[in-house]
Amino acid sequence: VSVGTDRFGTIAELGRAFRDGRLSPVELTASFLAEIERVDTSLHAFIEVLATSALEDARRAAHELQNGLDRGPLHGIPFAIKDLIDVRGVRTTAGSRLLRESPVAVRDATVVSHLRSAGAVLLGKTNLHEFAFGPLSTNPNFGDVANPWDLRCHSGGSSGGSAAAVAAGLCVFSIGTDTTGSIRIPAALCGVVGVKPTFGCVSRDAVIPLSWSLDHVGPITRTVADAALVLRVITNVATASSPSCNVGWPDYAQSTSGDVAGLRIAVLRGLADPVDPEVAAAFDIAISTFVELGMEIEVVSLPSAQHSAGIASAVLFPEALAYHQRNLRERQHEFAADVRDRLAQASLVSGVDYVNGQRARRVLMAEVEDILSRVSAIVCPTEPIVAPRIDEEMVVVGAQSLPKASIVTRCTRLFNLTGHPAITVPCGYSRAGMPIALQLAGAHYGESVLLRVAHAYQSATQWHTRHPDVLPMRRIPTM
Amino acid sequence: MKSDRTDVYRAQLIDDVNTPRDGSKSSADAASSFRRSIEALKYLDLEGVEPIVTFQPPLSIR
Repeated sequence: VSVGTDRFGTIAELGRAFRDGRLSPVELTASFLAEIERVDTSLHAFIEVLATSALEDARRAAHELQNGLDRGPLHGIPFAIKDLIDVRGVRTTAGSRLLRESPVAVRDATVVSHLRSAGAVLLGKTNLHEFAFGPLSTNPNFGDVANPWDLRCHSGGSSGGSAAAVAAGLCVFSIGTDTTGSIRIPAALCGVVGVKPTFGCVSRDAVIPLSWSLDHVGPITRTVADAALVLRVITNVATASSPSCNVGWPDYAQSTSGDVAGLRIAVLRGLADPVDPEVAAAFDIAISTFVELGMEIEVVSLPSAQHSAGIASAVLFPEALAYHQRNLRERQHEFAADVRDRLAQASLVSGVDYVNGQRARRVLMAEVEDILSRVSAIVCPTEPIVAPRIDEEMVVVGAQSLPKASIVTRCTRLFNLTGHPAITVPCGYSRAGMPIALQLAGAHYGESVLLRVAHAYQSATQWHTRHPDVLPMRRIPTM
Repeated sequence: MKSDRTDVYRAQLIDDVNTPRDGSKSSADAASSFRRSIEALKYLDLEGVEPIVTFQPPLSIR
């Protein structure tokens, strides 16, 4: 680990360097701040960079370590947080013009306070699709988040800034939210790891809601081992103000070390179809790696999942409209056009549709539970396509031309509807160099098994060791 | 009076969905696809299935 290359170090590597005296949290934080300054005009990953407070926090972390106060693996580790989540003294914009002049938050969200207590250093707040209501992270107010692997392509969303920042080496990890895939979609398209934990396992306190019954909070990291360390910190306390779970939390970092030989894994066919041939090929190779690791594979299908788009719309849209109704009525032209159109569509959903959507979720959940009664995890591609171009509306997959926004949630929304935990892990690159990923989903509160399988796969492959080389936007000289 | 205004507002939203302001095919397709996906829920067999959100009073046995 050395300053310059350490921006891509793992949490364990950086922690060892801090404790050996080879690197200080201040040097590392300064290195990230310099890189954000250098490349974020190209990426638009950050809405607000908290340089002064980050350096103060880093100095405090360094001082504590020097004086024998060790807060654990995240001590001194720089992170970023989606600007949908409150940070004391900082405005939460949700990527919207509507909140650009809103008062600063009076306290930290619970997830932020857990990370601060663990000694993590907050670098700033990341860009997103406005109010998290869209899967691409286009944003007319703060700039479209670009994909670090090709600036002409989408990062995915809605936690696009959080994923792009991790992929580009602008922070060690970040926190996102996921309502139909908003952690896993950008993590997959940017070539990093994203975890949507079991519903309710991470507090949603002081997080602006999109859909109360579908929203999840979780980490985006470069490795599965890092995800385990972050998850351990953010799931550890139940709060009165948010229904996070009150169960005995396992040490996820320990759980990554277990053996996977003999585990049964269900390959979910059909959910992603139609699939880009390069994605299909990379996924098949990944499954052969699972077999080489000793896992037993069975192929399953989930017929009711064909309705997951309708079920998600019937539930999500009315809940989003309920939250935004007043602003939609009084300040509708301040919404981004696509978000306003989605909220308008929500007015077409009846009360009966909403209740039937919530009933249909039980059917889906029972079907997923039935599969999980026989296997340890379900696996499928995270995305049927690689990151689409920003300047193209439609994506050609096989013989079909499809709207890009409708494709990217196809494999992810199912597990928001059922509340099962899911993780996305890189599993290849296209010929054009764009990331491809697989998704593993498991039993409720079964994060440990998912992390174990994902870590075993990542340890057997090298995809996570590739990093993009982001060039700063060329500045046009003024005449 | 208030409900009249709400009806007008809702009618305007529905009109906007049917004729997206940017007039693009993709917006119209998205609106049409949205309606179809919701209508398709009627093909699911929901007989005897309760909604996932049910009221659960805080447990406090006295």
